[in-house]
Amino acid sequence: MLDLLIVLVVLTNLRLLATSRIESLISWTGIQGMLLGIFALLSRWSHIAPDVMMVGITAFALKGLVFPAMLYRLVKAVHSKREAEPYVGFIASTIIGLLAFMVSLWLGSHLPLPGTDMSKLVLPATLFAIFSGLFLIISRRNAISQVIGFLVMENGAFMLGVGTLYYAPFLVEIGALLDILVAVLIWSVLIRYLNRAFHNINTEELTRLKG
Amino acid sequence: MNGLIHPILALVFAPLLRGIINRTKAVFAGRQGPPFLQPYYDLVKLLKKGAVYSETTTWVFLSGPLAGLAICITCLFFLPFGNLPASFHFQGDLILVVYLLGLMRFFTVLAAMDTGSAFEGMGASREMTFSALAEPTMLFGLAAVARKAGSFSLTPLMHEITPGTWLASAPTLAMVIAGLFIVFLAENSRIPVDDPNTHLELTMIHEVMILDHSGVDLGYIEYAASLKLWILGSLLIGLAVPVRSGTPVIDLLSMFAGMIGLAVVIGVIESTMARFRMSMVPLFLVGACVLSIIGFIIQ
Repeated sequence: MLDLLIVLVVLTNLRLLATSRIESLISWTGIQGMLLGIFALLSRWSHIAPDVMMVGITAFALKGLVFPAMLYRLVKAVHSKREAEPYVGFIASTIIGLLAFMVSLWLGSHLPLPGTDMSKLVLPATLFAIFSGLFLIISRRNAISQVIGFLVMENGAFMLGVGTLYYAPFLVEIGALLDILVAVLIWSVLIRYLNRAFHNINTEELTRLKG
Repeated sequence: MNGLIHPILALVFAPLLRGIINRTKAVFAGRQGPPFLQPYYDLVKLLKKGAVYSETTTWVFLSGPLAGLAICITCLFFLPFGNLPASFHFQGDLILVVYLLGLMRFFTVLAAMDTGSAFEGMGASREMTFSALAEPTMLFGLAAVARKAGSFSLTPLMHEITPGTWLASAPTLAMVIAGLFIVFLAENSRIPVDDPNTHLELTMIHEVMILDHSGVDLGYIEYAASLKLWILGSLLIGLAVPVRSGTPVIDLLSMFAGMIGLAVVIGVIESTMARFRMSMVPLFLVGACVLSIIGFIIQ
């Protein structure tokens, strides 16, 4: 069951790499967030406690509902182009994603983590989320898809946290989630400024800022 | 004797699947729809007719439908139906089945090219492009299951697909089934990849290649298409329905229920989805390939 969830998260990452529309990028990030919320609950089901449930539910709500809603409003506000404006095409991105997943599996099998009873797929899926987040950031011009790349990376880190540790202090996890919330807030402000300065949110424009 | 049951079942019931698909689509559209047996009536009608041949065609054109039907029937003898064993099985027969289907496509394409019509050449080119993407999906998918089941022969492989296997390797099987389902839709020229009802030049793939066939030849092609639907469907349902009770009646009934369910699912997909833009099809098929490769590489 957990393995299936992890594979679904991996598939959402691949879907993000193959998606051209900003709106569907946002909704797939939301779906990934919801899956992670469920994953956080299920992976600690045997040690369930009120604060564990709080973390799962907060992750589900923030990553699955709040961030997508904020990004949708941002897209509306800046009249963004609907395309992700890739440097690398979508089929090429998918294939690079697949290769990255193979590398992650290989790395995952060579970097055993302490704690034997977690799923073997947690570490590869985490590494893959970080790879695909980075790839989304460097291969798309639209500023909103860069925010999504960051969210995907963070989702990977979150998965590693809840997948490998039975218990992390409540404050730490909630603190991390709130950090992301603030990050997304700051980005929406920055992207609105970017849009005001250049009348689009293409990150190539930022190179014009240099001395 | 057991080995002859599946070929006979397939030969008798394959056109029925198309009838079920058409009836499902009719129900969705609020029509009464054709009777379930309509594909049989159509076949009989076509077989009674004579065929018209263009002067530019050669024996290649004549051999296309015959070879297609013969290859499909040959394929049936290597296919298990759930727990029902195939007539012949040996290590590696799953590769034989995949490439027999490839041979059938080869003959259809040759026959289409033989007409000398640019239009059919276009269809042939599309068919080859898309099936080149569909074939690795199928091989990787079957190889993934073969690794789980520990056999490269379809009969022992299907025998190993029990609820226990599903519990132990649900991600792999789910990925493989998703990938094979997309291949199933593409190879049988179903919506999102191709529309079996369309005769619009710009969008046809399979239908355009058989435009010059008529009468008996068209009947053979239609029957072979039904058999191909059955062949790929029985592979898919064999993986998706893990009922291996050992009692032939229960196994057969569950497989039949699965096949009918599959036909209904196709009908629902065709009623609720539109065809993809042609440029989206390769992305869709690459996606299927990625699914089955992931099924292959995760432990």
